[in-house]
Amino acid sequence: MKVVNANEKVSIKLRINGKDYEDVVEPRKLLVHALRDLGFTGVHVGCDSSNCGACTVIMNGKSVKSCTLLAVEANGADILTIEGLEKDGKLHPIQEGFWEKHGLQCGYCTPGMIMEAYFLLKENPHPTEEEIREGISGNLCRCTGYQNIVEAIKYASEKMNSKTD
Amino acid sequence: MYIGKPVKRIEDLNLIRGRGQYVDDIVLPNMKYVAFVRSERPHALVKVRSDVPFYGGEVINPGLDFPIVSKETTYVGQPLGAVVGRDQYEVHDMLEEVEVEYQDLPYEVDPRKAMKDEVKVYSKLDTNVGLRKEFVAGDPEKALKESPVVIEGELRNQRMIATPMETRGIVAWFDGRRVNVWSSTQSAHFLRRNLTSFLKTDVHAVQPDVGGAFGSKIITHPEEYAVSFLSLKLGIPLKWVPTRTEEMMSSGHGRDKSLSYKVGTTRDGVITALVGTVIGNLGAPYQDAYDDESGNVLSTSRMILGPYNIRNARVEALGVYTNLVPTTSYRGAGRPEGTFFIESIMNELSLELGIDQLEIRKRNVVKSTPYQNAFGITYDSGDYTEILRKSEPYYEDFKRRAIEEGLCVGLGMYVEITGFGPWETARVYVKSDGKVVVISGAGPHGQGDGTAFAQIAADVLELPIEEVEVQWGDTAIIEDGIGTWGSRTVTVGGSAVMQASQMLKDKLKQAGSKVLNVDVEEVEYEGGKVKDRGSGKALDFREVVSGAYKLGIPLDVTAVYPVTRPTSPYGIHMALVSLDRETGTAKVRDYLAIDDVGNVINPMLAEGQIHGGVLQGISQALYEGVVLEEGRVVNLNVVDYLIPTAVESPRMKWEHFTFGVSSHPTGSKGIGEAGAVVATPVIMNAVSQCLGRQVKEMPWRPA
Ligand code: FES
Ligand code: FES
Repeated sequence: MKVVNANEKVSIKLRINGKDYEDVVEPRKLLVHALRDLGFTGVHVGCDSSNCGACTVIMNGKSVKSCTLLAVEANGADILTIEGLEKDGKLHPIQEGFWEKHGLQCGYCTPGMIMEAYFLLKENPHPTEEEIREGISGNLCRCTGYQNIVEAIKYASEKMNSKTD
Repeated sequence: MYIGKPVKRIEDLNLIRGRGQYVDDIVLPNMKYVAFVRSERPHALVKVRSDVPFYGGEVINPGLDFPIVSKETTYVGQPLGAVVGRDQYEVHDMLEEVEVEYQDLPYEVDPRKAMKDEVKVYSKLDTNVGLRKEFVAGDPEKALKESPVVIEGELRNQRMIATPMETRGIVAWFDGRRVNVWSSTQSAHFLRRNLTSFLKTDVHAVQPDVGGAFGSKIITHPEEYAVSFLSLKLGIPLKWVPTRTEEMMSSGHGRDKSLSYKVGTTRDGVITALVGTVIGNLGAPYQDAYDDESGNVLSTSRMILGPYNIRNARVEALGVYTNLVPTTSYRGAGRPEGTFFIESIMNELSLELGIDQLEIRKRNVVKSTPYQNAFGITYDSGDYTEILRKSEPYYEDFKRRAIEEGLCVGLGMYVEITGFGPWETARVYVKSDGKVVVISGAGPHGQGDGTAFAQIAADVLELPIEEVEVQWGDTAIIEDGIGTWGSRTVTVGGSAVMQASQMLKDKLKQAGSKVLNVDVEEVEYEGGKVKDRGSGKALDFREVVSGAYKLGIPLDVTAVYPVTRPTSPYGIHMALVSLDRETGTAKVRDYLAIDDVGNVINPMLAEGQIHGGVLQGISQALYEGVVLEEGRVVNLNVVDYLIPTAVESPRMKWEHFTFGVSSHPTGSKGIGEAGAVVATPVIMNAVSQCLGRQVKEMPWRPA
């Protein structure tokens, strides 16, 4: 069993957006801060009580609030952040949907919102409006009133389905 | 033409790829972090003992308690001083090393009691009443006496917290010559002016991407003064970003006003007199906040007359200091409270007299514009009767559905003041390769005005919008500016952009004529080309520009657009609401906004503003509000202070008409705040209609 004391640092490995990173962190460091310090500043902090979802990333296929995980807990994990969504300079259909449908204003919740939508559409490619609203209920937005976010996710779902079907 | 079209936002491409740059994304070499020790008592004398370097009021503002406390604290959350450390983690450890001794003093958080001056909220005040003003018109007392119907009561519009998803934050760096700051603010220029006069040193201010504000980032906050000061003193780059709890305990508190009223009417529900007292809770006496909020108390009081023709009225406006967070602007900034008061009264009359909600508004509404209300505010243009007529079929449909589905209909009408002065700037220049750069002195932070500016400039210069780049938020790139608030940016900022673009167009014409070697009268500008009418020879845009550079003709103009008068949008909103008879839970089923905001520059963006504002307004009615216990706010996170999710948000529909344009070059009126202004009474009125009695406190809590 490996024991690390409070003042010691640990080295961890993270696979982020398909690339390997090594980092040396205090055990108490939150994953959200580790990601931001590695340059993934699209991952945002909006609260200190795990409610807002601005810090949402995909970890090992699941959407997680990265403010509620320690960086050391994520050792060895495969993480997808907003910066990794674009492929070969082409926007992901969800990103496109947010642009087309005016699903963002200040843009602060947007990365987390898009990652949650990514997870939602993977789990449920044909969500109803209600399922979309439920699906993003862990992600707060203060600007849009959500309606255009719902439209953006519908847009993406249609676009992604027409591609794969 | 781009104006009037739902052009997609030029702001989005960075933001949807995680490439925005908000203040906490900024990292400078050798940068250290700041955290603040905050008061845990509503009113006390404080003594600080610290085992780590601590910078209190005595260092930052000796002898004073604002911005940072030297001796006497006046609210829970007030900054007592700062510590500086390596990172967020270390500074929070350091806070544990600071010990504060409190000598408690009597406190008061209720403005009605504070008014009596039995307890001073701050020892240096002569009185807790910070503002007292009366507005009178006609003979309200006589009219009241003669009114066959009189209703009276008290309405309360509770304290809210703006809660933008990004908190405040600042990076400050003294480069040996001037202090450079990057702040999550609503105006770089306004911040610069305040910091320069506080520090007595030149300041360069940058507003990076800002994650919303809703009024909470207009004023210069105590922490912004303190961090800038410390960067100057310590000579190293400093960053401060509060936690959400800190943010909610120290910033963004708005509304918190009450109205006690007597209203007289005819038996047909025509208002003959209105007499009332508005009491605004100003919180603690921080001058920057007072300058902001005292104006809002006056806005509330003067806008209580709403879109109605009320000629006999008296409203006393009081702003009272208490031991709470200094109150500041929150989306609507005083107008929502005024609108809530009069629209609640309208609904109460409808219930008392058994007159239909729409009908009673028709009987009272202002008949023609321009109209000067009894307290001197001019409603510049539009047709209020006509918009009520247009709303009728929608209202009938809502009423029918209400009966069929067991729901209730709420109505709310509003008139607003937007497009405040005193002026705004715009600079437009062309690079030698033909790229047009538009710079605004305003400070958009989510509203998408950059796109609207690009539309305006592209139209004036008759160029594809892709050729126009828009920037803002840096005091080094434009002479000066005012900022983004008061739903002013597209209208006032846009008029400046329009004028600067026209000035540039004239310059391009002149330059083109010089290149063509003909008189300027001989040429015309069309589609970005300058053409010699005589020879038919034409230069394309790039040729004009590169020719101008070669001849030494600068293509760089700045317009300062002065505002002569604000402009008034208006509208009528309605909602279908269900009220669970067992639990009392209200849920908004459908929401319709009908607005006249003059010329609409970009309907997609305008509608986005309505959606966001309406949900904030709904949320004030049903969910939000601070909870106080022993002088402190106890719901300081986004669970206990309920920010609505997508589940609570209803489907919203937006219709707009243009019966009146503004006198500004854009012809537009502001829409940024309209949704938040009127949605609150719409929802409260629906709940009241369900119950058959007017509910006068918010948020609605089933008893
Ligand atoms: S930062 Fe709010 S949930 Fe993670
Ligand atoms: S777009 Fe501003 S918080 Fe969602």
